[in-house]
Amino acid sequence: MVTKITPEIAEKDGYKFGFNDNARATYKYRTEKGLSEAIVREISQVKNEPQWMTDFRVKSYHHFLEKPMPTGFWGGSIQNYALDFNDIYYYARASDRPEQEWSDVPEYIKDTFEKLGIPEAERQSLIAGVGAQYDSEVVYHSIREDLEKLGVIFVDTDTAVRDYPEIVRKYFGTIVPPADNKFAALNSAVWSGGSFVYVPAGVKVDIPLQAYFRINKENMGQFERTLIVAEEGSYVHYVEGCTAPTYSTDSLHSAVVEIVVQKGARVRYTTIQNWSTNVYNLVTKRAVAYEDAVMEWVDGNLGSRLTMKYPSVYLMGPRAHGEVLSLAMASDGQHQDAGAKMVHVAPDTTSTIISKSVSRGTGRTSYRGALRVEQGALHSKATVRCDALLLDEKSRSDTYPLMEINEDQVNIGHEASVSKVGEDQLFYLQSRGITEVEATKMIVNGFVEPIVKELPMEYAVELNRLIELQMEGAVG
Amino acid sequence: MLVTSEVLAPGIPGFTAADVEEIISRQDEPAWLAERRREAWRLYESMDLPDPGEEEWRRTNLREMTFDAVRPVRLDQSGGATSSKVVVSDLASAARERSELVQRYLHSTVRPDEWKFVALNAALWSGGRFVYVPRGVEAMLPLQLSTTGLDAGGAAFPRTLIIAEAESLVRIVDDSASPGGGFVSSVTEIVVGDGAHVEYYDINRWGDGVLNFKTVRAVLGRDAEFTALAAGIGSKLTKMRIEVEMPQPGARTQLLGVTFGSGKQHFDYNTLQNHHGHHTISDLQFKSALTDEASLVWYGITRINHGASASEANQTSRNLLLSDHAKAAPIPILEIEAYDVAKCSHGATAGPVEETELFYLESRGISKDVAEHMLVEGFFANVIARIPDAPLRERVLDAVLEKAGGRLESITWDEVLAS
Repeated sequence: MVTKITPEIAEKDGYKFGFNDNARATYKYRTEKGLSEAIVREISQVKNEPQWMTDFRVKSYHHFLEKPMPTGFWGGSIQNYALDFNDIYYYARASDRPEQEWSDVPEYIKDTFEKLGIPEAERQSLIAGVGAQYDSEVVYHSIREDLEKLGVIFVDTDTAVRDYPEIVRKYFGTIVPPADNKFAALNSAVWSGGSFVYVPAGVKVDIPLQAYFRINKENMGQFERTLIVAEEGSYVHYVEGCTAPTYSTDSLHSAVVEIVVQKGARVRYTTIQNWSTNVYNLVTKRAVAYEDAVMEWVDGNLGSRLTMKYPSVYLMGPRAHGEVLSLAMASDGQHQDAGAKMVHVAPDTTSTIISKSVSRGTGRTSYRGALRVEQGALHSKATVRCDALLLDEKSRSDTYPLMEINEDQVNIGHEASVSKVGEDQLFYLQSRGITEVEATKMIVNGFVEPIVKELPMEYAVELNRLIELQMEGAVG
Repeated sequence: MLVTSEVLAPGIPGFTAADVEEIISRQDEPAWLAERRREAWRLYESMDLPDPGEEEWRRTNLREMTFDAVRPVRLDQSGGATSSKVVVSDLASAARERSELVQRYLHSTVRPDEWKFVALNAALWSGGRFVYVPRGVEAMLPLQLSTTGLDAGGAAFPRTLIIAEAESLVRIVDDSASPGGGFVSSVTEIVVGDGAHVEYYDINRWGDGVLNFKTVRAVLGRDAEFTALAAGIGSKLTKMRIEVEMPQPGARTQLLGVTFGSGKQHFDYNTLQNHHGHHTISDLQFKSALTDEASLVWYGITRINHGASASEANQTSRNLLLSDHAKAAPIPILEIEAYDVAKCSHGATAGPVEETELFYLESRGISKDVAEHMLVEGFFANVIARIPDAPLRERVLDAVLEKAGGRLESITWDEVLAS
């Protein structure tokens, strides 16, 4: 998301991705508003899918109908919102297929992504491959030639179902089964787009693969589906960014991400979520890590009205390591309900969760997490560290960490703290001639630094800028 | 008579509305109390058992349990005042003799409609304990409340009302013991006046077949201080709720817990530190050592509400797992709405005794068993050290360590503290 700031980008409430291109957008295909089995079948038919996928979708649709809205611990936030499943378009396509040449992408979509800086990053060779999704379909996908020659696959998931059925069928829906939760079932029924990444054994992709998700249409639902398979000893870093126009009505983003990290492999998955504040962002992300594998989630949540997202790692093989770095920032009217889940199944597994959250105005951040150590996960070690910063009188912060320890030879720790911007810190900085606004920004930047430093450089720059944008008018 | 009820039973078999009427007439109760009992009985009959979908009931699922038919038993509840200025009596006579006071405060902190077994207690308590500490009275010596007389097939409903008026001080030890099984639903209501200081020590030594449900809630006045300690030793199952409301400024709370679980014992604690007043402070220290197949849940909420500015809160849960099959689920929850919070933190850990500490002790020629025992003793030390009364401190430590095979003869309490 190496974004150039161009004057024509509409800025509303500090959100500079709120523009839309409805004037020029023409959809090649769009389903009726709302959801039914017929629409699920229609999506599968339009995509010309094999029978197994049609069956998978229909079965998932019935799971979706049967599953209640999440309640209790993991659904504590959704109950406060009126989300109408019938007021959403589940599928809209603006182009016929993902283009591999940027020049073939429709002009208005190209403009959108130019404004967001996507092709620029590719031209500068900051990324190894790029995918761009516009509403339901991926419109552009490319990968560096040398990686392709090594057998690295980076395509949209629809293409993968067609071209790599044996790998897709082996893993698709196994990490996040359709019946996992209502939103995973919904995604499984109506999914479209997303990335499929396959890294062969021993191949290390040295710079990140990038995907960019854009919702353009009002009342649109985006349900991308991402599957990453890292074979033995491989490495890949996948980065995604998300934005949407600012509309007065709501959109729904409900993705499923499945990751398989084979023996000795390492996968890092970075998200900078910056949806406009009319988007519900309800996402299921899960990885399994086998022997000596490393799985890292870097999860930055700045946008959306409500985000509920708890990336998880199942540590299935000895010495596997899981890590979640979670950064949440909630401004007026936003609720970032983010966190992590770690499940230690094998011995000598280790995990770290670090969560930093900042609430300002009426914003609310919640850390919701689960740490489970199964019997047999001998000598496991897990630490959880949550820090929250409150910037205003009306801000709110919660910490809901579950821990279930079913094994004695383990070492488990959880710590959390909540604080406000210290008056003494502010006073000190102001006494050095720094304005209160600048001083607060500096303190917030310092607070989130442990997460930001884990990001690729251009993402770190972008994230800092987004935080600054959110902080505009925060104080003073 | 023992009859096993069905799963998802509407309640505990063995009680009827006639039991309520019997208690009303036996205790010669005023009309207002009789009416409250009947209302509580109606609530009991209409309420479902708690939904295991709710997080705090997920790990102790009452709907999956079977309850044996029981009969209400009259407990031996004794209480001795250590100061002539403190009123200690049974609650039934207080309801007649100090009707106005009891009417005002009974059910004021624990309402019968909270959940089914609390309603059952409100309908069926008999005897009961009443502690009244008038304004300015200080009762330093621990006041002993003890409950015995429960046996298998019996159900007991201890109810305690503690009223400490402004600027008073009182220490209360609530010790429950029995040899076998039975069903218990206890409620303790505590009203702590402005500037008053109340310590409440709950020692659970129920028999190893007892199903023990208990709710303790204190409401603190301005600048009041409150300490509660839950010592979990006995029972088959303990589901205990300890909550503190701090609506006024300047209140301070300490919630302490020491639990030693063995066999298949299950302890499930819910705590709440609810800050409304500004400059309120709370600190929770819960420790458990679990062996065999014992399990422990601690689900603790710290809530800093709007207006509770400059408040401070902490929660610490440490769990020592001494066997492969022991389980711990410490869940510390923070809900912070006040921007101007002074400090709010929590921490939870679970693990075995430190290998390095064990190694050190073994290297000094101490056998592994003794070394582990010493570490367990030391583990509880900093919580127990917060009990200001020395004999009581010894008593709690003895009671807890009895489970670990008794105190180590060679080590004195002072040495443990010094370490």
